[in-house]
Amino acid sequence: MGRASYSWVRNMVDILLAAGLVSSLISALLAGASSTLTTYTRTQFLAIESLHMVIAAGLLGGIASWYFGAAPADIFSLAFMALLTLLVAYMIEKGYSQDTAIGFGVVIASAIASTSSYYIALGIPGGISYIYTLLFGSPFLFPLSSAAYYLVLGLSILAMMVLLWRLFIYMAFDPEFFEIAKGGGRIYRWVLYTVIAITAIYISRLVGAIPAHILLIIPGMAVQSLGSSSYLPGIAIAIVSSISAAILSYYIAWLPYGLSLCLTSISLYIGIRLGVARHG
Amino acid sequence: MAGPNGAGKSTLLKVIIGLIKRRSGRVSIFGVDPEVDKRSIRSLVSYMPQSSTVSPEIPLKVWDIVASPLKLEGIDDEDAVDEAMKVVGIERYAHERFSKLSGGLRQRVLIARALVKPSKLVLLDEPLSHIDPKGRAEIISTLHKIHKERDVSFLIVGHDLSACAMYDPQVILLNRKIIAVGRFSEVVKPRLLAETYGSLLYGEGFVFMGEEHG
Repeated sequence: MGRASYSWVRNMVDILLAAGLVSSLISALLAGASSTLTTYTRTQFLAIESLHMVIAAGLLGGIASWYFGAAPADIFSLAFMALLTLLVAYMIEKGYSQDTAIGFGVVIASAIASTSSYYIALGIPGGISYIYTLLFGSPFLFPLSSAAYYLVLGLSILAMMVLLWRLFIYMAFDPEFFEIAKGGGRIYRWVLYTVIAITAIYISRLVGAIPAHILLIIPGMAVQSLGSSSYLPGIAIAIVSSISAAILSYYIAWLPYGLSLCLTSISLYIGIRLGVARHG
Repeated sequence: MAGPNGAGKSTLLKVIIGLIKRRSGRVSIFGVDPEVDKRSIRSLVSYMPQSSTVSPEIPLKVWDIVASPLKLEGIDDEDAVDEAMKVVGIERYAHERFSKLSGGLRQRVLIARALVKPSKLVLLDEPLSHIDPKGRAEIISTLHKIHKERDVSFLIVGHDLSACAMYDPQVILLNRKIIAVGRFSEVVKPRLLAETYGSLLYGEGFVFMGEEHG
């Protein structure tokens, strides 16, 4: 009986580790490429704003789902995300600077997130737990049964990013020349913003919105230090830091995933900076 | 095309190429209105914006930048890229990163990028800034050679076009309106320069060249 219980517990732990590794791996695939792209297209602020939107949209979706009974929270979340993304893109089209437009989006998202979280915590049973999971998540809570779905979705977004990679890089390097040589800069910018917003939703769902900040910023910074314009180093850096963070967090009970991801990412970044400084 | 800061030189170039919509008047490039037929304009006109519009922190290599107009159209023509780099003398920097180059070399890279695709008109916005006098003379000589050999026209914007003087090109003096149009030897005169740049401040090189040609 005792041996059987021990085996059951061990299997559960293994499943947790497997879930952590799988979700870390597939989130890092997209985060590594996206982080490099946001660094070079100077849209890190947009990526962070997208995460604010994810939080606000998730909380709003929670309230809507509670209020409208069986209505799926995701529909409200996605509609809200789409609305805010369009608002930011529209403001940029109207001549506001990218930072101003994004800043405005952050303000709206923050106001909605604060209000929604207040009412969720007060009125919905298990609301605080819902808020915590949305914000901080955990790769170990990832349902392995959804792995194939997330993998296909992630690879599809990554394929789109890779397909448009050179265009985005050339557009960021010299927007005026891009407009003359290729045209359609406005459409490509909208596609870029949409890809970043979708990536932010995707990563948040896998590892939580707050750890997603780290995954969307540090690999790009490291790639810039390496002086590469390819998406591959970013993916490699994100995978190494994310997987090692999951393993550390799994074996060290007091170390939450967000903190271990921060430690592994920054250690890797510092290592790369030192290596570049030493070898030129 | 010369004139003081804020004269509208770069704006006029952008109107010519269709980047900015004109408020009045008419633009016709080889019979094509850039606001109506952007595709044709793309095949007829090349453009080099001011180097300040470029983001050097993006780690692109010289070869990639020069090849970009072709790559954006899905064309793979290594010979054309090598030739464009050779024309402006940057072939040995092909695999260097743009960010590592000096201001003058960066200008040459952007000129090579404007030349890589065959076109009938090349618009160059301040291509000679950050380049020393010897380099300016070399570049203008190269552009003149291309003009003669390939029947390509160049519209160059700058403050000091003295490097062009020996070829006596058409010059437009501009300060929110056209002050003068004519051959360099006819237009670059102290009176017209004073009218263009203001009575006290007119382009240093121009004063010298104006007096020399005047």
